[in-house]
Amino acid sequence: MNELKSGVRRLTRVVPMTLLLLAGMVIVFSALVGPAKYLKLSNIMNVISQCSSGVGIVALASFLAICSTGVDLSLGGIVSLAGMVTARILTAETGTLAGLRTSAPGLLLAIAILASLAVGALMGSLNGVILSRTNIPSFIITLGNFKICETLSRVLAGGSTVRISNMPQFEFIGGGSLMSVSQTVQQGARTSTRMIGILPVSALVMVLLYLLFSIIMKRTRFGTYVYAIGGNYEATEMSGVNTTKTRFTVFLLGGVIAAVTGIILTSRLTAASAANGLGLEFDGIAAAVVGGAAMTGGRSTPWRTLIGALIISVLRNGFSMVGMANSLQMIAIGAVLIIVVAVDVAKNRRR
Amino acid sequence: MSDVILELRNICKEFPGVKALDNVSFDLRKGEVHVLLGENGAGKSTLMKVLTGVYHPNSGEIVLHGNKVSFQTPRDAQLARIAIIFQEFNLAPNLTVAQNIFLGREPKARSGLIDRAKMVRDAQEILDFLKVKIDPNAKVETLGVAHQQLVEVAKALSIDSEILIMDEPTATLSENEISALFDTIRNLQKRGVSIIYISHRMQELKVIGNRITVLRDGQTVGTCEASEVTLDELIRMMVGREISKVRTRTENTAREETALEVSHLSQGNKLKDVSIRVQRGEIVGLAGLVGSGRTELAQAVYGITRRDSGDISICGEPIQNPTPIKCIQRRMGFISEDRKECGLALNLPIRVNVTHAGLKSIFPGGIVDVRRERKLAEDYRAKLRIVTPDVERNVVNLSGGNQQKVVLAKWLSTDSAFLVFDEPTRGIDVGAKEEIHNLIRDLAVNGVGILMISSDLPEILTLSDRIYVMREGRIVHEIEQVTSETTQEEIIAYATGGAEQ
Repeated sequence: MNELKSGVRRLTRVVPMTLLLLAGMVIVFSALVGPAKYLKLSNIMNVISQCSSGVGIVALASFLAICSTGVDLSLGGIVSLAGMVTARILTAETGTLAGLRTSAPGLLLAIAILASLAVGALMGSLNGVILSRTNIPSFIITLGNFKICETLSRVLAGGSTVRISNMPQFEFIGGGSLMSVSQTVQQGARTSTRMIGILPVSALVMVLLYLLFSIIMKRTRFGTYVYAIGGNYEATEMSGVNTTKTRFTVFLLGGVIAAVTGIILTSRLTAASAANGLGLEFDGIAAAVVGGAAMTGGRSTPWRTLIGALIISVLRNGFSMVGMANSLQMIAIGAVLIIVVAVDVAKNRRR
Repeated sequence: MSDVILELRNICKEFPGVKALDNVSFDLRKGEVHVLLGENGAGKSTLMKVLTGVYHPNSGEIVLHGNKVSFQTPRDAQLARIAIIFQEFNLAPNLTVAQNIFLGREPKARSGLIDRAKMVRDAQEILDFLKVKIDPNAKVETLGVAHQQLVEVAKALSIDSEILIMDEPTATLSENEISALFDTIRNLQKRGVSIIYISHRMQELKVIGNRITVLRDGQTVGTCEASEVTLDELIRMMVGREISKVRTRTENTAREETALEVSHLSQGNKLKDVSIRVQRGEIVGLAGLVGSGRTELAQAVYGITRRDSGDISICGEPIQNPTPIKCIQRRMGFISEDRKECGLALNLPIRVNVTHAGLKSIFPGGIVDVRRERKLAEDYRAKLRIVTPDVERNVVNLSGGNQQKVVLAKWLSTDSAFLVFDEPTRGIDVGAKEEIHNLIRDLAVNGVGILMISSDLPEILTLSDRIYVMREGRIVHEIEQVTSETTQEEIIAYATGGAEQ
């Protein structure tokens, strides 16, 4: 028995507990839904691209904020605003931008993406500046900024959804794939062939971002300082680290990361609505926390956060495959979040 | 040896309600260990925080190598090669030893990333110099307290400090660790590092110090050569008076009732088979070093932490699983060492704080009668002489001593028969201290049983009827009757384990 226990402990040291949880959830859902239907390639790819155009990338920003003892509630708003800016530029009907659409669509796309990232950086640095100039908790600052972003997005939308059509290059970001396989689909008596992308661009962007931040957190001063602030703020300040600058950068990066999600989400839906992305700030926090982040800061890693985001995505997909109503899904996800954290807290207390 | 490298001239620092430093002067010579001695609250730590740019003095100047300097931030002091090892730990527990040592100064490889190999190598080198076996890759949270302390020393060394300040470095160390630390200090001296050594452990001062400066109530009492001064003289300088005569025991009938009885209480490795007893009308001192389990004992009794085994009864009534509510129902009160975090609602008025623990018994109907509450608060204000224009004033605006009186009023209003005081006068200036002492005495005379945890030995000696000494989670000694013969040395001997060697 003791051997088994120490074996499990050794295993969880190498493989995070959450990865086992993720595997367990996949097994349970495939049993409930039926493995043939649940483990179908199209469903798996669906979960992945849902993750990478939603909670997946945002969770990274949530993790950064939480790791430095803050929280960023403006992320959903920034996703919405950045997505809207992209859509507005791509669909501009007058001026030079409209001309570019036919003459140089690639340039227009670059402008749209850069503008969107700039908006994200601007809103993120707004959070950061207020945080470093005042003593207001990040919780309040970002809540306010969420409202600002959401409203700006609504104003830009002008009361309707902005649809983007005939922009294959743009659609490629959120919907394209570098590699596809064809699959025969049986639909009643008819058989048809469908292409399924197995290397979605959005998922690649997500993985690259996580890879980048994994290196940043582990191997750069900035990353070390983020962890140090979470571990002991006073000590970090006493050590001569510019904690103000570090926290500013955390929120600046958070804004940029949210903007990336905004671009991908708009591309995937080929439309921007002001409601897009709202709520992702909570999913991001949930993913980071499920992944092992402590609200007191200094814990978890980008990769663990990604596992947390995958758990949220698998839950959402699984519940809807089971046929659970959308509202019930939210309740179930909330319950899972509380249970995971409760187990973690209990585990830590025993130590 | 005698060239002065640092001078603090006429430093004054005021906090709201307290004059922490009053015209303090201090100088440091190259390669010496200069001990800064004083009671709790004498201003030692404040002076060092002024020196290292944490606090800014209201007046006075800092002269380093003959130049007037002014440090705005700890970083400035660091750049001037002044390092401090604070009393409270200043490490990030979630980072590794090497990361902590080089926090803020990580070596960079050509790629722009941190050169981890070099960082670990350099950390190892410093740890080797200190002759400590710590893995530079270990996370700090996995280390014991003593090793964490040594990591702090390593960190200070890594910035190539010329002046090293150590704030009570031995408070949490064992004998062996202390002698290792002293070896390190001597090594550093040979390298020309000057050390300001803060402590109030008399024994070690003459072992390690070259000169000793005594602070009292925020003022410099004097500086002397360590070799030319006796411990008695130092104590006199520190306390400013011969330790006053032991109080006369007050006999009263309440003595027959037991206020607290703890038998065979154990809790992990923090408390080991602890049995103590407090009679009503009696003041029992609980002495020991920081971390010896004194606060842990009080918290286990009050139900803040759970015990593993042992029996507790308060005012004659046994408690199965203590919780603060059950304890208050049995007329116990707990005056925490951390007034600001655990004792008071700082942003609420005195009136509200006074009835905080007793709302249920004072207003059984559930509706607070503000007029009666104000009357009650006014009564305590007069009785305890809380200095405030009125009881509607928020507690945050009071001085430490007056805040402590409000905490006291809170427990008096619940009609407590047993009170635990954890460091009752920490951070309180001398005048108010005397008043608090008198209040504690009055309480005992009126039949309240008192358990007083204190690191302030004169306080323990002058107030207690009986004293328990704790070390490493055990009661190691009981002084059944405190007399004028009882000495600080006896307590220290047991608290440090020196009595057994």
